[in-house]
Amino acid sequence: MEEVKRQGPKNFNEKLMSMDRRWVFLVLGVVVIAALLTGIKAPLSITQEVRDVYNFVEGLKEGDNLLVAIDYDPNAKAELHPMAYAILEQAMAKKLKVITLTLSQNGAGMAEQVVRDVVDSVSTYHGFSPEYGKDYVFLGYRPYYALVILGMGQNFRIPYPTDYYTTPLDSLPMMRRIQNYNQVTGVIDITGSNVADAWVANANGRYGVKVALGLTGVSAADYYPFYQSKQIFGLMGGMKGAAEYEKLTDNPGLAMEAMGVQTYAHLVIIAFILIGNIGFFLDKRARKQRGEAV
Amino acid sequence: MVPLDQLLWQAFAVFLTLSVLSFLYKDNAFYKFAEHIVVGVSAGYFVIILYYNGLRPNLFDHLFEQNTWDPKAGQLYYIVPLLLGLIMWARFSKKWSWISRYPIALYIGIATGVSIPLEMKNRVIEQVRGTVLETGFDFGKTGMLGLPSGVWDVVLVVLVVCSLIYFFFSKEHKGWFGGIAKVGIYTLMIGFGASFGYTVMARLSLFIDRVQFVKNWVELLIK
Amino acid sequence: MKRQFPLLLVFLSGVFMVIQYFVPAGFSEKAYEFLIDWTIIIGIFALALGIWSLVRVSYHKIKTGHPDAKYSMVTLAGLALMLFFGFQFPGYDYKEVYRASQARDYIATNFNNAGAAATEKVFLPENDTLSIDVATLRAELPQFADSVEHWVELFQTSDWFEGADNEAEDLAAVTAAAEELRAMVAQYDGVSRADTATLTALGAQISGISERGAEAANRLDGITDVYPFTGGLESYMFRAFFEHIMIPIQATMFSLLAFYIASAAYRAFRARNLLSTVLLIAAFIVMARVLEMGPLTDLVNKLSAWVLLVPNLAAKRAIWIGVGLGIVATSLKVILGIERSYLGRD
Repeated sequence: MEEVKRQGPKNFNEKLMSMDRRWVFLVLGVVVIAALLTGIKAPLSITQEVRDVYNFVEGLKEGDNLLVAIDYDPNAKAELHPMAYAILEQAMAKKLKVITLTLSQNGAGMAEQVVRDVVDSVSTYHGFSPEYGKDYVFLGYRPYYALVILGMGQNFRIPYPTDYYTTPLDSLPMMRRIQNYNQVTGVIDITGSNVADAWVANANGRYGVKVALGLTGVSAADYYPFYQSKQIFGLMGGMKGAAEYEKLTDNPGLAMEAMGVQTYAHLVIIAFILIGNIGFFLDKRARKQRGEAV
Repeated sequence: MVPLDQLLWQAFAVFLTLSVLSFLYKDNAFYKFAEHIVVGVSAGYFVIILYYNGLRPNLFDHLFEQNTWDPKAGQLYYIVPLLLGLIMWARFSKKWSWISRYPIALYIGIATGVSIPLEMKNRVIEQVRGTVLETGFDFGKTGMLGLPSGVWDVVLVVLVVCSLIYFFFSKEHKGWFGGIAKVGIYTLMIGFGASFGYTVMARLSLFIDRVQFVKNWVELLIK
Repeated sequence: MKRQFPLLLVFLSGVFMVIQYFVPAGFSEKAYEFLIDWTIIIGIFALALGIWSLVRVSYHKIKTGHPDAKYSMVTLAGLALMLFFGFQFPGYDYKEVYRASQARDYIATNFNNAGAAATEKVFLPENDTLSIDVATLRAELPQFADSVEHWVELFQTSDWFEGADNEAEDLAAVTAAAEELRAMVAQYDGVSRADTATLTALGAQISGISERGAEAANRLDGITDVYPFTGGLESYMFRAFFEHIMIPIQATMFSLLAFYIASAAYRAFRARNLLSTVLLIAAFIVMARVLEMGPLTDLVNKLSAWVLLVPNLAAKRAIWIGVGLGIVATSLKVILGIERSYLGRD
């Protein structure tokens, strides 16, 4: 098959198929900014996998221990921060005892930010001031997540003799009654990496603690098998999952705002796919008419 | 009222955000600056975290401190992991780099040993169990798209088997076997399509978040 | 020694971990906990290797006058600043220097622990690793008191703190509480673990003392650090660099992917044949979940749920099963010494 190369200006089909990518960039950028400024809202239907997470947290009693793992770096902030904010606020307002930790190497600062903001928000809007050590703790980071997760199954004190601020674990009142996963009612892991696998395999698989996942859109579709086999009890996927959770907890935030923009940004992508394909088909037809190989 | 220092820091963050975005037009000095500073700052950040959230509580405190709260205080056998950790650094010496294999071997042995039963259980046995036992094969209950849920259970089992057969290369994909494999590859394509659809949303989110950030900063300034 | 011993070590530790999974009791349990603990520690040193490599590469670029040398300086400057903010201060000595807030917390911690040990841990079931019996408690109480006195002494004598003189009253209250703790040891003479009534009463007494001590310690907030520019995880600059340099740059660098996926979708996503058309349709259905579809919304939601939970699930499950079998096979090859590329050459 011989490639026929023609000189001269491109015809319409070829132009359709090969715009400079910077035009694509510009259109996408302008549409996103414009959509955000106009504050468009999008419809949002709740999926069962997100509702399962919400129902689980909602069903816990005051004083139950919930572990929320903030296992993401700043690069996954867009999708995962809103989930962490919504879940932690729900949990703290319900006066659950919340253990947070991070197994991602730049995650400590992310977790600190969420915890600090949520404590402020709960004190302001829910008339209850969560106290460090009594109502919530932040255990911080330890390397080698698979082993850390296994270690906590024996005793939290193996990987975490101290919390993030180097305070001994036993001097935090709420941790005195917590030895391992047996005292934790559930784990919600919010992550964009394969830490999720380790939580499913090591925490749920080996120690039987209930696990739910909050994932970036990139990996969300891959974890539905674990949801169906009940190895995880719920799953939040990407910004839509985060927005659904915000809606369920009646706590609108960045994710719900962003979903309105998503609608228009998606239309841009779909439009470009269609343009590319129209060019492709016109070109195919033209080649056929000229009798070239297609 | 937002404190002045916060406002200035945020302004710097906005500057860095725009510097990185300028890469979309073409590579330039602002982008290079941002790229290099973040590498250094992240490395420094990680050193500090590793020290306060690793070396110090999990090793130095046990070895050098006599804290009453620490059941492992003064346990001298922690010298062993310390030494094993230190000889990792022999990698930098041509002559002695072979010593660093010892700690690596220990780590690899433990990591692989842990993973064998857990991977087998979670990715293989549990997945098979989910396919056969978590599906109820209930033909009386209405499931997705108005059909009995049992129908979808059967479809699920069939599609899982077809997809698995697609990965089975010991027999040539021809005849009836090839037909099953063909159903498998179409199933896999739907799976990849679903992932792609999700990924589009994921990638767009990242940019929307940055625009939200800049917008919020501008709103702070106006107020 | 160079190759055989590491192979043996991999074999032994790997086999042990497999056996441990099936026999998680007694010795194997303890050894398992040790190995986890140790491996994490060893791993930290390995991670530090990567950072050292970064320093070497950057230094090399500067020394050889590489075109990017000035940017390498920026990298090293960022690293150095972060280390400066993160560690407590230059020339700091690990054993000597504490921040006032930290020392205060340690005093409160010791009191809290004494109270917890006397009121809670004695009553836990004996097989609970948190539990302590009466003899241990008697041995521990003076230790708590010693530790408190150590910190009080540090407040009074160390150059790192100022304002200790104004706090004499609270410091005295702390010391007095520590003395009382020590005195409580004698009260446990002849008390057994079974005598819960007496234990409860004594526990309440110790708890009271501890609360007073901890409260007095918390009142010591007039003591401040001599060096206002203290570092550590809670340092202002350390946090500011994370929140205003690392977050925006890392997040924005990834956000460039939004543009690349748009351009990739435009250029590469063509309905060339039936297979790619199927992929395209599945992608459209999942993408349509976020669109305003009017009367079609319900249908789109149902369809996308079906795509995700039936064909997508089947495909991903097949992949996971394949991945799982692959990992197990590779792990076995490593443990049995068939796969040994991790040893490197030589």
